[in-house]
Parts: sequence; C-alpha cells; structure tokens
Amino acid sequence: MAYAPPAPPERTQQRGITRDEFEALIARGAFDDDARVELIDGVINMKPRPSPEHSAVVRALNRLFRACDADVDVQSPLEVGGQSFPLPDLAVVRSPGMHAHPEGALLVVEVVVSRWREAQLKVPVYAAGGVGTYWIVDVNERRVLVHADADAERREYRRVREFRGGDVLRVPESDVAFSVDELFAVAERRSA
Amino acid sequence: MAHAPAVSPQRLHQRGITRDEFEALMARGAFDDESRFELIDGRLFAMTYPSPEHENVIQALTQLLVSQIKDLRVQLSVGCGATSLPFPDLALARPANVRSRPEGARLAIEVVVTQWREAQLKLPVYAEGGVEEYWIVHEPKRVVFVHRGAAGREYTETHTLSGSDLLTVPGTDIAFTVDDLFTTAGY
Repeated sequence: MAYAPPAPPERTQQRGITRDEFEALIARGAFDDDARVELIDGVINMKPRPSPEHSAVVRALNRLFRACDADVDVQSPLEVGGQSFPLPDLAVVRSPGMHAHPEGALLVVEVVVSRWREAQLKVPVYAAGGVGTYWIVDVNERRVLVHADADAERREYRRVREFRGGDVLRVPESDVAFSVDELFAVAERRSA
Repeated sequence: MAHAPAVSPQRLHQRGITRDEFEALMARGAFDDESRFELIDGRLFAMTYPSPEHENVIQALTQLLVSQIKDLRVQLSVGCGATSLPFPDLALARPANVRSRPEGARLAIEVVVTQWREAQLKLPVYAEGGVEEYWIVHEPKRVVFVHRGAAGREYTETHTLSGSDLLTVPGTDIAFTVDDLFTTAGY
C-alpha cells in the first residue's frame, strides 16, 4: 500500500486555551506574576525578566518612536485573534480608549537577545492577528528582520527582509525612519 | 449533612484556581514547555531553571537518600489539598496507583539559593497537605530548617540545623550532618 504522509495539522484550536479563558484566569488571580504571562496560540508562556541589553534596545526604540504621531505601547497586552494575548516589547497602535486593549497594531517589535523561539512562534499569530508589520530585533547579530504584507488567511507575512548597518527602518504610516546602526548607537549611549 | 471543612483565616485561595483546574489546563496543553508552573494556594508560580549550586545540592541529597530510592521523587509533583500542586526539589512519597499523584509526603525538601519566598509560601501548604516533615536547605547560609509536627497550616516544631547537627530522615535510620550534605555537594 502506498505510504500516505500525515496531513498537516489543522490550525484550529488543537491545543491550549482561548483568550477569554486566559483573561478569566488572570481576573481570578491565578498567576503570582501576571505582568509577565502571555498567551501565544493558546499556550501560556512566561516572559523572562529582561536583560540589560534587552531593556536598552527597548528604551532606544521608545525614544526613536517618540517622533511618531501614533501611540506606542511598551510591554502592554495586545489582542490578536481568539487564542493569543501577547505582551509585545513595543507596539505602534491606534488607541481604543480607556476600556479595551488594542486589537492588532500598525507595527509590533520584539527584541531578542537569546530566546528566539517566542519571537518566531509569534510570526503566524501577528500575521493572522492584524499586525501590519512585525520587526524582530536580533541584538546579538545587530540586525532587524522586517516582516511585512501580512496574509491573515495563511498566517504568514509575504515579505521578510533582513536589515543591517545603514539599512533604513521605516515606521509604517509615519515619517519616522532610522537606520539599524542608529538604533544600536542610541541603545549603546549613556545618558549624560 | 456533610461536614464542611474549616477554612483557616490565612488561606489565600479565595483568589486563584483549584488543582483540578490546573490539571485540566495541563491536559489541554495550556502551558509552554519552557514555562513550568507549580500551584501554591491557588496561584501559579513560574518555576525557574536551577542554578548549578541548586542542582548540586539536589544531587548530594539524592545520593544521601539513595536507600529510599523506591519513594524518592526529584522535582516531581506532590498533591497538597485541593488548591496546591507543588513540585518540591525532593520528596519521599508514593502515589496510590499509576494514574495518580502522591497525596502528601513523608518528607519534602526545597533547596533555596535565591527563591526564599516560594519556600516560605509552601510552609502552610505542606503542613496542611500531609507533608510530615519539611526541610528547607538554605544554600547561602549552609543551614537546614527542619519543620515537623504539622497542625493545620503550621508546623509546631522548627529547628535550625548547621555544621555537625544531625539530619534524620523520617521513618528511616538514615542520618547525616549538615556538613556531610554540603561536603557531598562539593563545598
């Protein structure tokens, strides 16, 4: 009999819990430290305590984004689909006002020092969840992986490009632009 | 009418979840493989990777407790009541059958290098959960706090042992000093 390769797994809820269930757990005080737990595709993940390098790059991005007209969230919850509730390092969002978390974002940035896995697991989540552009800042390699042109159906970004050195990063729907070198120069700088 | 168990005032679990809910979440794959949690009084605490010191003290304890191998559990769960499922560093306990977790333990041991708070939060949980004796091995101070005589959510006896003080494993004639323990760990 011919060998039939196993069918690719259905992407719907094979594992884990929904965002509503996750929010109910948080509301009931189920986590000792709920400021660092996120839900990625139904699975609860504890974000590690940021290293100095991680914090410095987030700080630099926050400074560079200041010129941007949109609202910038830092490590705040983002609603993306029914099974994810991540805490992205930065998100350029349209504020929904006081009583809701933003749904999707113009841009999400995750800074990676050593843990690649979470940032990669979030690619399909962000692509499907209304995140237009997703940057992964790779601190050790001094590069930024820019994911753009989301295909929500296929849960992927159609364009993925590596930016390094003098390559200019542009914040969508704004005039803010800076090079990869500039980003890391700001991160390295000490306050006077 | 069924007897309603008394709820002691210092219990935290008006907040949080039950052990059954925690087990159901586990069974549904709700937790990332790299994020392990234990349930203490209804609250989920993230477990951290052990430091080398932490591991080496566990290894020494394993070596000293090897004659108890049939009951020895290393970083495995011990059921403690309806709202706690801790994963002590070591325990002497035995589940009723292959489909269950042990309820309570003859001995539970936590090794503390930095996470003092969790070890303290487990005191009332172990006392109430049927852990007859609870040792906290405090690596930075080279002392062992021995708690026994559980009554409700407290232990009535606490001893601070160091140096040549003798640790006796409950229900056995195994005894070793605190110095032996740290020497075995390579100190």
